[in-house]
Amino acid sequence: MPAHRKMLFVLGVVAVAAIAALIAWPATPPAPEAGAVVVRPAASPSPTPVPEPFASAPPPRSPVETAILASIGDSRAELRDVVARHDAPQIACGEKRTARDPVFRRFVWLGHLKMLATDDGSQDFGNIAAVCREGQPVP
Amino acid sequence: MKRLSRAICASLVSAAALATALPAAAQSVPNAPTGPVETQYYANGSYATTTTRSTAACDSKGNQCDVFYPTNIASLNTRLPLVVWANGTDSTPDNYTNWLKHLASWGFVVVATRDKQTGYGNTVLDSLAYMQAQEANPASPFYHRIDFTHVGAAGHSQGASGAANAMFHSNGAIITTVTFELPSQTWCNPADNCLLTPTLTGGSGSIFYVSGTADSLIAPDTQSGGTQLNSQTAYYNATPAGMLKAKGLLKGANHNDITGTPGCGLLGFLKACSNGVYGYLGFPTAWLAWQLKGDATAGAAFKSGTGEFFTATAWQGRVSNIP
Repeated sequence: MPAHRKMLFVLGVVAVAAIAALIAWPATPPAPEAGAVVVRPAASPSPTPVPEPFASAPPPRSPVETAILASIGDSRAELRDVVARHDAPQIACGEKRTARDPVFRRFVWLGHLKMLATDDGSQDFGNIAAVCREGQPVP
Repeated sequence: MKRLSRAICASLVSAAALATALPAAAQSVPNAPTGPVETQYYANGSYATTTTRSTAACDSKGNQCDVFYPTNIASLNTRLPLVVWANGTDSTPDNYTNWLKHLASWGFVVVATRDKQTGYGNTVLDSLAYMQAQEANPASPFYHRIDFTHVGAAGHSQGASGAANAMFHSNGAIITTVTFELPSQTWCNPADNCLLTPTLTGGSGSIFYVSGTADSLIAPDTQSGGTQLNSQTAYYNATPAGMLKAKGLLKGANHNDITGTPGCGLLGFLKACSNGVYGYLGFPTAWLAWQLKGDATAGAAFKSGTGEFFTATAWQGRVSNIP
């Protein structure tokens, strides 16, 4: 394929992809501290965190929270401080606790892959949590 | 402007054609094969394939199973090896048809539950039991057609955990596993819906860990530290030395490249698909051909340090203990 045609081809594909991305990713309403999710230190194994009592009436859930909770599959699971990235709303970060692990721990949610990572206190989770920041490459 | 529109239209048509093309011209696609074994198994096998769906549930969660197999299975003189497939999170076999048909074209019967949560491996074992029942049913196309001494497992993402769990809990019925993008244990959700360390370290069989270099968030090659198995290298190292094992990462491949049909399509980047299924066709098929069909040449490709796998240009992070 000649070079100019190749360039046109690439430009065409990029243009179509950009239009599709605009259609597929509707703008989300601005949230406080967008992108500045998960600023708390990781839950560390010692001293042992004290479990907090579970709330009796769950607050209204956003679609992303509903999706996260569905993936956890625990009717007693709770989320807090959930913030989705503006530039990649399929990625959300916050804290969760479950019946089996009743301490709030940081999580990273990749909605397009239905994958949820939980903070294990390792540096590897710190690397994963970097994806919560605006502008970071989307996996 | 008219010219530009025409150019964009032409580009769209070209891209659509590219997205649906078969990987015939090996050198023109990403992660093209370079050696004889990879090239051989990169191409489709000689069998035309058929896909059927069970009329009733085939697993304990009420899911149906899809079965991919050579169309002429009834007229073949030999029983065929079986591969049990495990889907990634929230996926069905529909997401993997290119890969599963590729396996069937090489003479494997592939059974895939439509379960979307396969991590425990229980529904994968259910699908194996379903095929055992089919094998004994004179009305089934699989009656006396399956070689149950040669059963393998394979799976993607959560399904990679499910495939490995199925093997380790099969009491030896499943003898090998290929894992695609086996997630780090950090991603286990819930924690036991993955390949747990005691399960792996106490296991037997053989295993081939396959990931992509662009999947560094979910299935990276290495990790910083910690006691969890958070990398392909950690899984490989934790695999008992008595098991035959290999590990490799496909260059540039992201988490969902195995779902390519065969490319990623124009919106592949939205699905974490970078190159498509191309590079996954060769060596993973060769591994199964070696383990389940006795292709010694394919097995030699994985010989530690010197086999063809170790010089293939599409791969990196390779290691094996194959003598």
